[in-house]
Amino acid sequence: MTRLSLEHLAKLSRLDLDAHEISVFEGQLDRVMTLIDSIRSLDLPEDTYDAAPPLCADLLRDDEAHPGLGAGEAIANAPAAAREQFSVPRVLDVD
Amino acid sequence: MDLSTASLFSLRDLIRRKEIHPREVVTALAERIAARDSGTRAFLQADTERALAEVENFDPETPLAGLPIAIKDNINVLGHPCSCGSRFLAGKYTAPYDATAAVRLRRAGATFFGRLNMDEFAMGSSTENSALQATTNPWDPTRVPGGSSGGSAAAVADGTALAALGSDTGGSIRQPASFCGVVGMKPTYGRVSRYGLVAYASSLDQIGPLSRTVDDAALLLEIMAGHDPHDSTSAREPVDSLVPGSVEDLKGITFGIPREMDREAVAPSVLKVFDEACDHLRSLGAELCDVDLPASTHAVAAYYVIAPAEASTNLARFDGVRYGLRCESPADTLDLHTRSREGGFGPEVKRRILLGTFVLSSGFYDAYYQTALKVRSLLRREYATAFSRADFILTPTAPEPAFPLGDRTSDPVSMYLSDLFTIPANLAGLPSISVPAGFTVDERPLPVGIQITGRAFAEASLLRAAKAYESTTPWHQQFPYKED
Repeated sequence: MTRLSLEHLAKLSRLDLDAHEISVFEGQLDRVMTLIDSIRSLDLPEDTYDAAPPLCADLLRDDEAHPGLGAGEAIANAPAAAREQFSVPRVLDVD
Repeated sequence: MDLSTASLFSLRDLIRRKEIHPREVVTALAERIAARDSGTRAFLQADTERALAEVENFDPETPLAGLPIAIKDNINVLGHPCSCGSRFLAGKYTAPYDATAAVRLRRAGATFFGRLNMDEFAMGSSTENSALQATTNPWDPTRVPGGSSGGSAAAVADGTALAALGSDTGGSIRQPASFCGVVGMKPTYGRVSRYGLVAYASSLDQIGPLSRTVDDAALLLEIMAGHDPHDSTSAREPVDSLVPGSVEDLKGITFGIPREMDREAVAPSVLKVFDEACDHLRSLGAELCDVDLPASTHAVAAYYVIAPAEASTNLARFDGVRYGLRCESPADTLDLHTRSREGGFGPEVKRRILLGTFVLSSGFYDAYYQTALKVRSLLRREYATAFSRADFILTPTAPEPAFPLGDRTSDPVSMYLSDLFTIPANLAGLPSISVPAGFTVDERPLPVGIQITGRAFAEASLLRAAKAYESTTPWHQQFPYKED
């Protein structure tokens, strides 16, 4: 895994890695890649994959309304909130 | 009897006979935590006042009769902190609801006492990836307790918790149970609701018990198991009575040992214990045979594709908006997400997010992720064939005993290989239990566990087999401390 690809992955992952982290992760992830690369060479036919959920049958619950968290409870852990809403940086410039 | 080190069953009997009040158990545990946990550091929090207040309303006829249970810090319990061992959440998040497992335990009379340390977001095999503190092994404070449920295993072994909940994605209950000399069980995938468990890898995660005895693990599992409409992957399979009762032999039972189990990869001290355990199972009337699980040789590689892929998706929710750490003065939304995550996550979490993003990215998805899913399907089929020959699959729980603190923190791959024998059961979704099986012969003997894996939803027979082994061996009665 090159430094360039690692920087790109960090961007996709929404991580702001510093130069030291990139340098350390480069070597470590190379070793992890060697481990997981072992499955790339396996020649497994398409029908090997069983897409069906293996152990559970019913995936959907009954379509009934139940009480959920109130706004106050949902917002209680927010690092920044105002008027029972999550605060985020301005997205649109509005005069 | 020392109230802080007894089994759930023995204490429940005393409570029902009105010989003790669960308040006394909470107090005994609080005293023990005060005396011992500054060394072991298994607890992130233990709110004695809250537990004492809760226990006043106990019902002696409930299955747990007010007894305190400690909880891994990635399971939501209403009003309790839930940090997942991460700077992202520590001191910044209080659970606004109960996990289904917590609802069921509460209904069964449990008192929640103690939040237990863990590898950050359950990613690790030593608990050294906790951003908050390092937990040590009660048998040897220079060694790790295993992970990621290392706090849970260490507390049970240390006598600071009667029993605890953990979560197991690739061995995170069973491996620390083996390292600390306690019982740890991962149920069948879908057996226990994941609602309220902070997700790491959703197709693999399961909540399960750690305890001193097989009976106690069975009791907790029986209470927690069963379908939950809040978790679309929870199964509608009926829940049998799981507590084994008296089991003294294993006549007619066959244990399969995978031919692919590489004895060269197992520490001699662990092999010795394993071979003695095999002899003991034979002496109880069991037969041992070889089984074939060729795909298991690719299980660790497949796991480190599937689990990071799911983790990178699941952890996208930690963005500095709804809960947890938020960076100072974000310039825009992207800056808010990026700097909050950079400041909140530790190195192993970042490594797995990067890896997961890579294997899911265009051009690599088929080569890695799709192939890993095929390996997983193949492994499931091989287990099905193996179970036509054997009732259970038997291996050591881990290829080695507890390793020294700091030994593997800079080499993730050597850490990952600690889960060599536990990962296959997660990929196949099967129930699997680690039971204490002996000790190394070192100057400071370390516990070693054996792992028994059963057919899907066959927890009752799995627990019976484990109980037969436990009740005819002395290992679960060994403690790392001098009994008072």
